Amino acid sequence: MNRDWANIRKDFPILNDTSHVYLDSAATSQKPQSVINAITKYYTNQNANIHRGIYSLSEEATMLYIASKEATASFINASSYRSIIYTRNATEGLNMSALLLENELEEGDEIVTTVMEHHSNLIPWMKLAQRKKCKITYVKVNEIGEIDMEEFKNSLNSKTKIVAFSHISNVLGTINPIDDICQIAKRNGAYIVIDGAQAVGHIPVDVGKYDCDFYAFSSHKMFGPTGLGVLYIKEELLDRFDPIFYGGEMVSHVALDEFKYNELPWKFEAGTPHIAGGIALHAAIIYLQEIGIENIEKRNLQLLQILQTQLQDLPYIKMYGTSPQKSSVVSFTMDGVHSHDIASLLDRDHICIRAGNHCAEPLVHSLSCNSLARVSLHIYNNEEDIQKLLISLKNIYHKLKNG
Amino acid sequence: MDDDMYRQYILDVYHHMQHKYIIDNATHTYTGFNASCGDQVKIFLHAEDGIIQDISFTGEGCLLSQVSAEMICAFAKGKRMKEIEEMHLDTLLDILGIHPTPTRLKCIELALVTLKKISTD
Repeated sequence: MNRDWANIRKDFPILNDTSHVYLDSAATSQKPQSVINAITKYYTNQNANIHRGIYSLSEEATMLYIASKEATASFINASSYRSIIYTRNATEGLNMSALLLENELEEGDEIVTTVMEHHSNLIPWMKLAQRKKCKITYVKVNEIGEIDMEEFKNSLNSKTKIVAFSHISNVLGTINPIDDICQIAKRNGAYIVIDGAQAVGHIPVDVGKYDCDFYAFSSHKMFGPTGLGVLYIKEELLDRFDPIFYGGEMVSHVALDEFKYNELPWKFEAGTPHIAGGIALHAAIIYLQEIGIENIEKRNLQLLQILQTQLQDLPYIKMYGTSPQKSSVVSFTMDGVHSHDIASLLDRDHICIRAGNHCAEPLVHSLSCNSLARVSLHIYNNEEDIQKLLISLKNIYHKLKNG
Repeated sequence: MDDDMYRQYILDVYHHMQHKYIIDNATHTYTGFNASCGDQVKIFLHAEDGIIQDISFTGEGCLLSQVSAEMICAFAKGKRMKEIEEMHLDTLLDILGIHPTPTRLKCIELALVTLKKISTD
């Protein structure tokens, strides 16, 4: 595939029609025209409810929805689409994981997670631990923003039933050593739950190789629509677990005194799903595959290095998360200037970044900060975006530092 | 009103705070937080017969949260506690003379909410 990056930027209409310098892709990615077209096409020409209609329009919609699941399964190397549950977002997937694992825990069992987690991979475990009277151990993060692997190993014991961690930190950008973590957790007999929200669509993801039990991510961070998430669960577990939601579509037979669960993955998708979302996610996956995930990874690494090099030259900027294993997310503080002021002032130059605690308050506090500014890049960004950011940052510092 | 939340007047106030210190004879203190962003404002107030004789603040946070605290202190000095209790956010926005974006409104509100907590205690 030999498309140049300037042309790829043109695939994203919002970046053509406006003057936005969009540097907040870790919050949500922009959408290529092909994904927008897939949504329009579905509602214009293909809309029908799936699975139940005995007419060709419904059968076609059903086939499109199943094709989306097959594409998602293949994209993360899941053995079958039977393992792919569509949710609202990664958060819902992580909450479902915690609910499904509830019956696997006994009082006194332990859950291991890390300080770097997003709130959505913390609070479901905190609530679960409360309900089941379990202990949570939080593995610390070292000075360059990596999980302390020695501490991780030492935190596991015979009572550890669940290991939950993020593939990539949404604040530090650290790409965690997923193979090692999964191997160690498996050897310990723990269920493995991975928050892949920042990883899918950025780096190759291979749930088959990790041998993890749960892997949750969001469509909207990988060029797909909002309102749709994916939860991969190992097939043998899905056979064993009861669903969380009950209703239409998740049953194959209902009488007033009994019912039978539908086949996988439908057993876990009660009610009409986000059909348009599923079909548009398929378009996003095709788009990602056309460019090639390795090319995306390389491009983002290049952009990251340009940004890091430029920021290093500003003595009043401090970056957090400097692991060599890092995605294109850079969090920083500016001496004497609050991150919300940075974001507000950048906004006046039409530059969109995120500021605050990034739904990872324990992590941000562990870095002795109240608030961080975060720039996150994706393939449609370019050197010009980074130059504009740098010029604005310099102006902001000189405007606010002492007047 | 000015759309520019960071116009020169606001920056001048920020760089030359007149009320950012601790008063010794405070009869009331209260600390307000914005948990979502970490902004913090602590107000010190000396009141006699329901009248604010002296007022100051300390704090950390974004420029708007601190400027708002500074200007509310300047406004409140000499006023009756009751008057502050009934003070509306629009009055504060008039004093500041800016139109914040909806997400930044809470930065400005922090000092007012904190001061109202004191005056109703």
